[in-house]
Amino acid sequence: MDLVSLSTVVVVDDSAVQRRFLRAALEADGEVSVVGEARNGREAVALVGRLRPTAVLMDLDLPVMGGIEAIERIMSASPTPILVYSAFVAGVNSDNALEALAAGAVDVLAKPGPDDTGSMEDYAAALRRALRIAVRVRVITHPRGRLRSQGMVGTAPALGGGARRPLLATGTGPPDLDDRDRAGGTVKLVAIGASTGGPQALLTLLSQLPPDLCQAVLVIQHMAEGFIPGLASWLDGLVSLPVVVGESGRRLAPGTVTIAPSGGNLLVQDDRLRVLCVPPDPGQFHVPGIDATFDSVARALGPDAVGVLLTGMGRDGAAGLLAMRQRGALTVGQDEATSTVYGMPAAAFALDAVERQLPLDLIGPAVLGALGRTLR
Amino acid sequence: MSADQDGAVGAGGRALPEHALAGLRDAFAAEVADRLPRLLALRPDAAPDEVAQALRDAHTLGSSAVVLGEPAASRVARAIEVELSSGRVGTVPERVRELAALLSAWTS
Repeated sequence: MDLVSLSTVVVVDDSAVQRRFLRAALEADGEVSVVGEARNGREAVALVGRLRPTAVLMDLDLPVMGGIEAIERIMSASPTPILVYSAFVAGVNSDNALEALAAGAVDVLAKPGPDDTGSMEDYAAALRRALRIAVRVRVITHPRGRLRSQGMVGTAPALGGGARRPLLATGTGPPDLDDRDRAGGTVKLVAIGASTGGPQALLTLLSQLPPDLCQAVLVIQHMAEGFIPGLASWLDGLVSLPVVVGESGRRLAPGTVTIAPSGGNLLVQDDRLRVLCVPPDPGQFHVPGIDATFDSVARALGPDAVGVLLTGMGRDGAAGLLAMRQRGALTVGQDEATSTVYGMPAAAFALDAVERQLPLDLIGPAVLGALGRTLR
Repeated sequence: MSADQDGAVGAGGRALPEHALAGLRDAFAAEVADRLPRLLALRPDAAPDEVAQALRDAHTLGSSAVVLGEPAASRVARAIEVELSSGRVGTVPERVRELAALLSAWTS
């Protein structure tokens, strides 16, 4: 066994059955060693601080200290890739998944339910795959836990709670106006692609857009089936623009953030912003695909669009962003320092698809500059 | 132990090692022995902390039952969770008896 590549993992669940299953599932391929087990959030925080594992696999519904608070504390004190698996993250509970991601978790998997048709070994294989990705994520200190411990933030905002402001100050400097004359009047659409680390980055970026924005905003976020409505609801409660899930055959509304639905690729059909949801290409790994949407935006709108590629693993979006740039659109890529995973933006940068590479906090002002607006 | 128990844990792809399966069965039997009696003892006028514990017991048994290939028991445990979450404690004892019957192989 190659000890250099061995990942060490702490599993957190109050059920002994689940902990045993996780240990057996993760250690089955010889690439992972479960070095610790915690039964509640408090034990998890202490264990992760002491053992410094490569990654953490954590349930959300925990006694003593809940999963969300434990994630915040770990990401504040001992930043570690955390993969959440829980029964409370799918369907009507998808806001819990978004809350976990906002707290700093890198990905969320739903525990199998009684009506799932896959075998537990299928699920074990899915856990191993997700963990292999999670351990490659470079995590940074997450401020919310630290601020909470200092009494500077309250409890996590509830779904649709109407907070209508950023969770945290973004540290944005002076507006970074685009130096070209796009006049703002011609740009009709801001298209944003994101993957791993995307929900938190989207919150930061969308929080900087004003409620009277005249342009439509289209977001393509890689996310498992069933989680997109929760993402839309969660963002809708936190940013000033309304956030909705896109529907095939409808037009993207100005001043509205539309999130591409799961299950297919959302294509912009024409300069009236009518969209069509089409089946993914055979073998397409990420659904919804960013490349497909960006490419359609390039063809439909040419220079009358802004493309933004945020944090994420892989290279989806890079070719599409290049198509947008070649058609005259302003293209922005998130920089390495602020990306949870500098994969997609790096691939776009390597293709020369990125006109401006910026830290996350400065992307909103740059977009507004291209629209002829300034940050308030 | 139900007919599909082994199938749910080991079917498809690479099966979990036998010692892991044996450990899972032991752990589930222990979990049933620990949590089911508390659920059976729940009264309609239970205090809030007893209801909260019952919720956790039902949730844990429901999740674990899936791992051990007991989907019917998992569905009933989930129904108990829903009723407890909705404050309908009075209807829970009947459901718990149904759960106990489905898990009887694990308590013998």
